[in-house]
Amino acid sequence: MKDLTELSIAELDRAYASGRASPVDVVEAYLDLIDRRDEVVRSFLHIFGDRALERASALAAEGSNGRPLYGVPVAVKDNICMRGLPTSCASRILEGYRPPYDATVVERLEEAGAVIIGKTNLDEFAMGSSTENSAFGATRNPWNPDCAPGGSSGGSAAAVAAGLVPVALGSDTGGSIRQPAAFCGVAGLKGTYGRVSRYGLVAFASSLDQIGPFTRNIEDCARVMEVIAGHDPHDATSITGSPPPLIAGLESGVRGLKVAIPKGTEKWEIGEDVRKSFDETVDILKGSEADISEVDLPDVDASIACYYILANAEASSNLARYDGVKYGLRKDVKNLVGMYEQTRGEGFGEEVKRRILLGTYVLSSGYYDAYYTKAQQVKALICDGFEAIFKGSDLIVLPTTPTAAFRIGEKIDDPIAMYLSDIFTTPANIAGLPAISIPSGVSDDGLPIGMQLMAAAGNEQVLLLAARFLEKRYGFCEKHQPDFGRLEGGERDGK
Amino acid sequence: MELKDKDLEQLERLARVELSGESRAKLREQLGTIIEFVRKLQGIDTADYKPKAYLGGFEPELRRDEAKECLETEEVLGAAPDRQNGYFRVPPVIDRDDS
Repeated sequence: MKDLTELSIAELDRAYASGRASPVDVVEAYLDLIDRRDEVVRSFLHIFGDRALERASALAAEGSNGRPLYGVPVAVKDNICMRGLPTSCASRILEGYRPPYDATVVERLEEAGAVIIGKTNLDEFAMGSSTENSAFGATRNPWNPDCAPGGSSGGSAAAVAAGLVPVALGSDTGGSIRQPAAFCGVAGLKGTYGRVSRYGLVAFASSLDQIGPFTRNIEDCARVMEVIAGHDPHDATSITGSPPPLIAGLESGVRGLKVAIPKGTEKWEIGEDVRKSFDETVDILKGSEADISEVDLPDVDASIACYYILANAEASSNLARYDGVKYGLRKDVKNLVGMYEQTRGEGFGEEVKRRILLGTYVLSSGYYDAYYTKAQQVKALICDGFEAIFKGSDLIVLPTTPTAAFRIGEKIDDPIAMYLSDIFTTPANIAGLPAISIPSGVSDDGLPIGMQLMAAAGNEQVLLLAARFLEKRYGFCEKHQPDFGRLEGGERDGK
Repeated sequence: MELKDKDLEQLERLARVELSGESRAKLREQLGTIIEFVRKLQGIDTADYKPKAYLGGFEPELRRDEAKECLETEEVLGAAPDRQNGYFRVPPVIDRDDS
């Protein structure tokens, strides 16, 4: 019999219904794993053990009442607000901040019966691709603690990969769910722009940000997405109307599905093991009942430059609110402007400052048209390119990242190299498309590799059923798992 | 592209961020490299495309202009580093000449 902490959401549900376990047993079991493993992984910034146990015993008394996430432990990225609980964004400038309201996703999770167990580490304000930019220390990859878990939602990805929670939420502005999902061997989904409410998500780049789930399997992913998706009057960019059902039809297979494979993949600068996994994926699909065609992808190199202009322009504006007046850190300076400058100079980490300054540069007088307006035109061109592809295709398949996880410290002083780890993920944010990363195999070093599926706006359904089809063919979870013993050995700093 | 020291100072002023001495040189160099990297967009022909700020397909919904329940003032001000009589309190905005 599987341990309680190995059960999928559906299996947990059955364990509760049969009386094998109660939500308290399950929360206790996960808290115990966190205790044993997170000293090495460092995926959590805050653990709400007492709150979670209280909530679990309240749930146990109430019974399931058909709630879709009844007694499911969840971790939430620490840039998502929870009323009265710390929300630091892994930044000194928000250290100790406790928001007076819950994010919509938090409300929806709790209404659905989930138990939020804690909040996970991230690159400061979700700016980064390795979780090394956290003011509270880097998270480590459960598959190899010397490697980065990816980022910016590295804490959430690592927590799921290390078995510390079955579900975690992250946010994805340029790949911050999908890239760490690929590095940590878990599923990570970013829905269509506007699919999940951003109310209570601390804003980084409002036109690109989306919250989404990390899970161990696609069925769990569909279940969580059904709970968090849907219109929210608190978010003016939230899609109106009902979101598509995702669990029904999950097993319907890929017969007749029109799958687009990018042309010119031989020119991609990607690792040989990633290429091999991609080629295997193409072979699986060619051998299936899907219709395969080749398409020209919009320029991925242009996407990443376009992304860094738009995202940082928005960030420089969004982060103006951290001024030492309303919340968080304030440096004691006798005049207002000096107080702003020193508070922000000391409160923000290096990468955040780099991005604020770049965003300020591209929006400044004399450069605005050459950079910001130009990037908005390139955005229009990229959107058009995808629209043309999705007139004739249901799905695009490509790797999530050019390589498997890199080592901690390897790219931290080379911003461009770090940015390029998002080369395949930023296009979906620019065009607002839903995209998912699923683990497809392992590298020569035994690190996970992720494949990415993208679909037309609004079409999460096709994304998930194709992901489910591939999941069965890959058999990743049956073949591979991190060395949990190594995580529990108290081995730290890779020594 | 080389970013001059006075350009960086101007950016610091605009962004209200004071950089420390040792990080200034490193940031100046890195920003120059990043600006060079994003400049590659200038080689793309976008003559046929209007700048796109919002994604299509959605009707942005505006709520009716009516009073609704909102957070209590005290709760919102509770996170402020300094406050007085229901207001945020800040250092002097105008410098006084004390000489």
